[in-house]
Amino acid sequence: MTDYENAIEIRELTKKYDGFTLDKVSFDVPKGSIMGFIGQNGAGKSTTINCLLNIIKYDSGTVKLLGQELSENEAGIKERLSAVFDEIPFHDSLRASDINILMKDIYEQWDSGTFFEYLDRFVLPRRKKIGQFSKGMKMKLQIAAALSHNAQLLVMDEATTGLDPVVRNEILDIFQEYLQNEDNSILMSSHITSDLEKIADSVTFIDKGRILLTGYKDDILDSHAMIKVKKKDYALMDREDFVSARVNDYGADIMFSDRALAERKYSGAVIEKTTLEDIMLFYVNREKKEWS
Amino acid sequence: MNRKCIALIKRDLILSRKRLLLEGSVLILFMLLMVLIRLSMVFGNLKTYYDDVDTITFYLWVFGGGFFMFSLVGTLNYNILISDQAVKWDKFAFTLPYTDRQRVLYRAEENIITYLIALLMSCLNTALACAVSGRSFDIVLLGGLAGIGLLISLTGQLYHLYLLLTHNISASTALFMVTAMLFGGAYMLYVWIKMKSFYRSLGIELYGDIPADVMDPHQVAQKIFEIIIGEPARAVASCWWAVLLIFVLVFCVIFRLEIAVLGRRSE
Repeated sequence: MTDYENAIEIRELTKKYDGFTLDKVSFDVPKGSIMGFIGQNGAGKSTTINCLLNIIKYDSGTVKLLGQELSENEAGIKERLSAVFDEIPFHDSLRASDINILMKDIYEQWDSGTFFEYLDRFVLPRRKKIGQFSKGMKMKLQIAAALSHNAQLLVMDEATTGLDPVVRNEILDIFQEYLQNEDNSILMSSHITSDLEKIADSVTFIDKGRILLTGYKDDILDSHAMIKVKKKDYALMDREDFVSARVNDYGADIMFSDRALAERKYSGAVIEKTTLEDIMLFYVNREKKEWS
Repeated sequence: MNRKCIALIKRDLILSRKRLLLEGSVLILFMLLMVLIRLSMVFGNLKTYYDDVDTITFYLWVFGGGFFMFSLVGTLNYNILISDQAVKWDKFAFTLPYTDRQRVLYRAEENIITYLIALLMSCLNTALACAVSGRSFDIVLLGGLAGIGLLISLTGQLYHLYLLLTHNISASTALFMVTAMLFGGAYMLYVWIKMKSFYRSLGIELYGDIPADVMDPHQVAQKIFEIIIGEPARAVASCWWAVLLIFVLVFCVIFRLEIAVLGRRSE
């Protein structure tokens, strides 16, 4: 088995569609970590994930999963990874017990014991048809299947979207347990930034097919700052200094990508810690510079 | 056949279990109905019309049952293919540890398996029909059944290829219908050509050279039915090896094309 530093390495990944281009996307998911892949709908998250899983062919760039290029050993690499999508890919007429029968022949390392443990833990009935499951139950079943063949990489595309906070929390706990094994890694795309804020080690922001930011979550949060100023003060600020500003009748909230600069230059202003959601919002509106 | 391909075939069988049970029950009911008709022809009300309906019921039993089996069991995996698209299994399947060749190979293997199952069931049905009717189960019947099965199977394979190319279920279904109509049209043309020469010789054989419209309608109906079903079967049976060779070649070409199409990962 190849030794590797990054569970995922993407370099200059490009995919052109009519009206959309995934433009030279590059980022790494370090081994043993969870990366949040953030962006609004249509930003290119799913396209990136589909390219890296070879669900769609990309035009140029390189993708390495678990230290190997997919073209070298696609089936072998996919034996060691799991993908979870926003919709369960199993037919409604199947039962959870059928998934075990099916998967144990597909994956060499499928562990029926682990799968049934997850079913019990998630209180999922074994004999009930999947069509009768709620959305949360379906997602839990998909995750149980994804974690039962000793996968070292979990790729999730909007998997927690549409789930209630209780189920989401339960699933996030499972991910944290999964990451106790330092060989395991997760790439989780979502636009629910609060989930990623809770569990992600690193984050990558994508917008209109381009990577805006990538790095450790704490570094990104620490380096950014939100300043609240009154309208008259806002008028005096240098527009080159900030990412964008949310203006209202009384003043403006301004996002700085350089906290040190904000503290130095605008020391009189109220400087607040920022969140991933704020960063996403302010970056998405960066071209307008001023929005409300 | 490797373990991974068997796993996917097993999945399709699990998904089709209800349908298989239903179709098995319908076949048994069909066979029961035909036995009852046969009994009625020997001992009951239909005894008076025995000569008229004998050939018709026999061929209907054999080839109707065969067509039913191949259409339903033989095309099982194409119905699953459509439902796979609906639940996005086809997308998920790309994340499973399979090569493109294995992904296509499993469907081809499944196609052969379902074809053989349908052929076996059709043969059982035919054996019963022969036993009850006092006829022999000859190469004509077997060749006819195998030929019908290959045609349906090939239509299904084309349908699969087109579905892979377009991801468009309605367009693929339309293609399936058009292909079926083309096969049906070719079949009707064959029958018509045979009928033209046969009708004249039948008139001479039965009544001397008299106008065809005064011929015994029962005899004519019986002979026509023999042509419609029996003649193509006889034709397939007489050159079965050539038919099989053509089908194997076409099947292999489609198989290669499917791998190429899948490799493109068209959206």
